[in-house]
Amino acid sequence: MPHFYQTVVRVFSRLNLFCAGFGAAILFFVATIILWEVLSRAIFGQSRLWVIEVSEYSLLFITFLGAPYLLEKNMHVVLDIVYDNLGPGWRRVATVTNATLGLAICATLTVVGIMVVIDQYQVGVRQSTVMTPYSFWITAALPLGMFLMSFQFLDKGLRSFAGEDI
Amino acid sequence: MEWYFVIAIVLTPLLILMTMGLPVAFSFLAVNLVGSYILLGGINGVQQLVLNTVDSLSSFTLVPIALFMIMGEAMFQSRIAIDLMDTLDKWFGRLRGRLAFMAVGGGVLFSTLTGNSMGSIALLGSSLVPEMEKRGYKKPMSLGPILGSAGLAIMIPPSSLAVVLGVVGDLSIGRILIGIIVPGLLMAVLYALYIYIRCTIEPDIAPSFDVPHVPLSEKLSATVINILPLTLVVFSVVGVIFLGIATPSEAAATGAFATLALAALKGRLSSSVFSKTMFSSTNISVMVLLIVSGAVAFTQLLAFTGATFGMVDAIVSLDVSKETIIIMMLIAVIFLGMFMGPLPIMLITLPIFIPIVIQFGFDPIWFAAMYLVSIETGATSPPLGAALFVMKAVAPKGTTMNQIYRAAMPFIICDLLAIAILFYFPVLVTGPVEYMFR
Repeated sequence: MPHFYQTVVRVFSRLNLFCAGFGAAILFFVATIILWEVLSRAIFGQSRLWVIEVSEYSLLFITFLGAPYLLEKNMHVVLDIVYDNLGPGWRRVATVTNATLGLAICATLTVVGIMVVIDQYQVGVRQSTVMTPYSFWITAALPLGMFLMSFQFLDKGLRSFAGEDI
Repeated sequence: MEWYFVIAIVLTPLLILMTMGLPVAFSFLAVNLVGSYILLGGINGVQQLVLNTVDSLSSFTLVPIALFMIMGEAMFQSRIAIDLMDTLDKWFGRLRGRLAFMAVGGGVLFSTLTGNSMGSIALLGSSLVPEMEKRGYKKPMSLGPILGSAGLAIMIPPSSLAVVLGVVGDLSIGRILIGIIVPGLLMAVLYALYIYIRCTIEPDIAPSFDVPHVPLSEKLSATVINILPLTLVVFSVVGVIFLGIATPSEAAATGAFATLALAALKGRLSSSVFSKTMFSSTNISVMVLLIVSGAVAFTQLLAFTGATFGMVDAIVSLDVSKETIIIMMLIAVIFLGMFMGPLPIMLITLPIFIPIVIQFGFDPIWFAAMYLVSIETGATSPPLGAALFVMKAVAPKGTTMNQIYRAAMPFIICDLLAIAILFYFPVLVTGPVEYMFR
């Protein structure tokens, strides 16, 4: 693989790790605000409606920030019932096919996700909730995660095509 | 088009993609993407898929999944879980199949600490299976008991799925939580009986090994040091719900912090343990949540085609007795569980099933208990039961899905036996409920 490409792979890898770490930080933040809500309600009799909403949105970001790292490290759940019994040649074919399919899925959802985000931004759509945030901030998590995963599938496909064992 | 054709058309590519080795979450996404494009009106349909995926993940009912993972990981990373297993180990002595029994005992104990069977599988799988393999346990006796007993998490309070069932079915959550305790313990007894019988008939499946004699005083002190403090964690999850201090989703956060606090009190919450706990729990949560989001969108697609309702209709409109229809409903739940996650199944079937059960004059809490056992049975049923994939994620490298399938089968039969017992003896569910709420 060319040196430039390897640099790009390293940049994406660091980005994935950063996003996964950020996702973990968000999870701890969610646990903290929910605990704070319980204590605040039990001790001071005060409730904060935004806690539930922020937790919900956070869950979305945790998922799409963490998924590219899992993909890079091959940690996503796979049904290996047939795949494990393939010979090296067929396994490579399956890997390249899967990577191509994965790339197509993630790239499509990146593009369509961006279209939805732009549409929501232009129309000024807000969530019909207590905090009424702009919807595009929420939806943006999906194309972001899908974009990072597109690159991971591309990388897997290229490396497998070049004969590397993925 | 008939519902069975639609299901076949949608499921076939899904199964092909999965067996080709495409990750489960992306297989769902691929089918959802193509299905949305064809069925929901081209690019507008795909835009709807994007919005549905975002909506399905932005749900407070999913929050406990991630937070219970923190509990499980904190217990594992800080070795609290190992202490717990060591204490059980002291009590089990030289019993044949002791590690398998420990899986059941640990499953019951963890069930009172986590409300999520996936978390229990992750915890028991990563802590017990390596030791079982080292001791020469065959896969059916190492993976099976964990798959079975981890499912007790949804049968013994706190159970996040029981709460969802109460909310969706419009039933008393308190009554459900009390009603499922005996069925959960019944399942544990059946698992233990199976392990005992199998180990007696086929000793090689769980070779016995010498363990040093442990005096009673040591057993008691280990219990006081390692198990008694866990009552703090149990209270922070179960107690706060029963006292009305927190909702079940919120109790997951209090439980997570109680576990972290316990680890800190034991002097084991180093920055490394904390960061590993958070990172690992996030990774497992992401793995599960991405599949859940794909499954929810897939469910919506199936519902849009009318296939799901066609199947449910076909079952309930059969010209048979009320009891048979109840059994058919449970079979439908188990069948759906082979392909879908518990949440989507509950969201689809409960609004239809519960009114029918009430219309028939049956106690809905009795049905709810059998329904939850069925959900658990479906989750451990091949080919696509969710628990099987979590087991795969935490099992030692080299463990194949085939081995996991075979290990799960006897415990699925135990679950079916539990459903049959509950069906013929409703008092096991209704008795404790009537006693508590008289």
